[in-house]
Amino acid sequence: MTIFRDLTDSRELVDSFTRPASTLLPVSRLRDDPQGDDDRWASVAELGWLGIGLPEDAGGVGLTLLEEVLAAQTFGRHLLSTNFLATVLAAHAFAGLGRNDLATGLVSGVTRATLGWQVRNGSSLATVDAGSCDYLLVLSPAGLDIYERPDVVIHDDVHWGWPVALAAAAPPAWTVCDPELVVRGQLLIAAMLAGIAGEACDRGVEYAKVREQFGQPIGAFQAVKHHCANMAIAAHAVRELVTFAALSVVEGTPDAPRLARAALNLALRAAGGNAGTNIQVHGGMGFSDECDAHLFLKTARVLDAAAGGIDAVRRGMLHTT
Amino acid sequence: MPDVNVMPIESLDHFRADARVWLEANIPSQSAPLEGPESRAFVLEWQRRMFQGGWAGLTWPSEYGGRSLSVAQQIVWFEEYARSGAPSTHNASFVGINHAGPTIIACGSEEQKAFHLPRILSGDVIWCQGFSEPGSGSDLASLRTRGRVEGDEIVIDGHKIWSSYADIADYQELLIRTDPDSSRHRGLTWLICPMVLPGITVRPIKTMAGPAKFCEVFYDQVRVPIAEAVVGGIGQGWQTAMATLSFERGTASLALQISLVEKVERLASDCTDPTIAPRLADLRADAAALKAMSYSFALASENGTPGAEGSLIRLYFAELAKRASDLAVDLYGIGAPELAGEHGWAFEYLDAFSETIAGGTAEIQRNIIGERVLGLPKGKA
Repeated sequence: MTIFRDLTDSRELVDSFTRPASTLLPVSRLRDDPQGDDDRWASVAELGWLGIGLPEDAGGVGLTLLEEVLAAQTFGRHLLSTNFLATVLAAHAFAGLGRNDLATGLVSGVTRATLGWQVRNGSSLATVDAGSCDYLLVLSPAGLDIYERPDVVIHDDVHWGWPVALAAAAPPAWTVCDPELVVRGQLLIAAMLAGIAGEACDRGVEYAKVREQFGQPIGAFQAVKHHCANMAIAAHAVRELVTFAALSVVEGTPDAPRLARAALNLALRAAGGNAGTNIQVHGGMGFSDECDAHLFLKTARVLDAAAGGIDAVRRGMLHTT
Repeated sequence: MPDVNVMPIESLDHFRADARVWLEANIPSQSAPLEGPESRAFVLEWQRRMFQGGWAGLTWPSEYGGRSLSVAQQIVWFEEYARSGAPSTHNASFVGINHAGPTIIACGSEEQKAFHLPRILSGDVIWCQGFSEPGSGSDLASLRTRGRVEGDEIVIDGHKIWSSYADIADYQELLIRTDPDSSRHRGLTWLICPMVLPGITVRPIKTMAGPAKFCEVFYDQVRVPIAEAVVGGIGQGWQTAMATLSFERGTASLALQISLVEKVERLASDCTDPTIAPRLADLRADAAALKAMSYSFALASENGTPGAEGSLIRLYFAELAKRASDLAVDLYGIGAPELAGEHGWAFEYLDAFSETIAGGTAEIQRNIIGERVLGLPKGKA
């Protein structure tokens, strides 16, 4: 089965309610604010961004995964904290468990969730931008593990844009096995990565138009121009695939789970690749902390970790039809 | 904006079922010959059969023998076509169906439309393309084959190359310089050149993949009547050629794109080798993206607003086709039955090297994407 639908209306709707991101979430905010988006969370919640695809009786807006995914692409461009993903996924999990009270708490910004992952070769959990979180979420191939009020300790506040915290492994308060939640998690991560791939591309291209060397804009040199073309191709491919996969989920086509995995695979490569190329196009400035190029790379790496890593994503695509 | 692309899934499902039934009953049992008169006979017979079954020119206007159907139906047909293992559309009918025909629809006179379009669709004629020249490859606008206007005729002298199937074609879409004082994109004319005219010599060129489907074409005082031959006006050749290219960016390549996605999924189902599997995972993801991009682009082009991303998709397809066949050679190995034969993966692998060369090399495509899509400056000459 193949899905044909004009997405103009959905795109316009999502654009209209995500527009405040450009003033609320300039990427430059992350330069000197180690507290991440904790202070902005009330505003983020007030705009309805945390419950886009959630039913109204669970505190949500009542749209679908498609609008959630379109919005997450915009939030990815603004490097909205990965707590966004954790909050949305936890709220869906709680709503699925019949705990609309807990879902509403998250969507309204009263309680906080953060996205974590298992540390390799270790027993602890890692997360970024933990703040004073109530829940720590870890995606698994089968669903979600939700830890309640984890005891987090800042581990590395130098390297990854947001402080990395560790939590000792304790049994999760909820283990939610739900294939639909897995697909939603994969697609939302892929959507934020698609936003990163698009924004890194746009920033690299704009810089190549204005930065001059040897008497002309560096974008006039084919070597740089081809970097830009490659970024544009990757950004477009991942944007279209993520959207197509979300539409397939909403329409319930049989290949939707496969498309979600494919979208995550491509998104990890496209975001990491474009973020790196954007740094290269920016040259010496790109390597400096004063230029925001590195923030896209770092967020892409964090999302890669939360997704279980590209190699695990590849393995997940074998033996599946 | 109304959802013009939406068509009830149910009626699309009926359409799909009809396509499947027809294809199963009508696919040629013989595999398609790749060159020469056998190739011509095969391609025309297959086109005739599709036309008689009502499966030719699905999106062409009905007044010229098409069916005026939607892009969604066209996509469903191509999906079933690829799934059924029907002959590749990358054959001797490709230029007529996907290039010359659409150009005549866009820019031709009523007489030209009435004469040529039904013949193309019904499988009466083969067309080839005469654009590239030995000195004008990616830099097409530097072409030098000239046409001298003499009364109501144009007299052609020159030399074209990479003209696929010129040796078995009835007509050629030919781009020549009719204003001797012009340069670059000005002073060109797009015309219909019958291949039987005196003064035309065709020399086939064997490709690295085996078949001799490419040709050189030499023109020695070839005379064509202006009224019948010129499409879009004398001196307007570049605009006419671009009209075709914008159509081509829409749906012409859909069949090939869908077929590639189908092939990648077949590789995936054949793969039991864990060392190749990670590469295959990436390939499948990229093929899924090709499908998403090309469907969304084709549906947008139906609304009359295809964006500039056609050039992105085209390059993406070319590089994916090369990667897919490269992986197939690794997966099955030289000597395996999957590689052998006229349409085996060995042919696909070798033939795919043309993908990043034909119609402007990948390097030129990246320049075009950089300059026309992203707005980057041209380099100093």
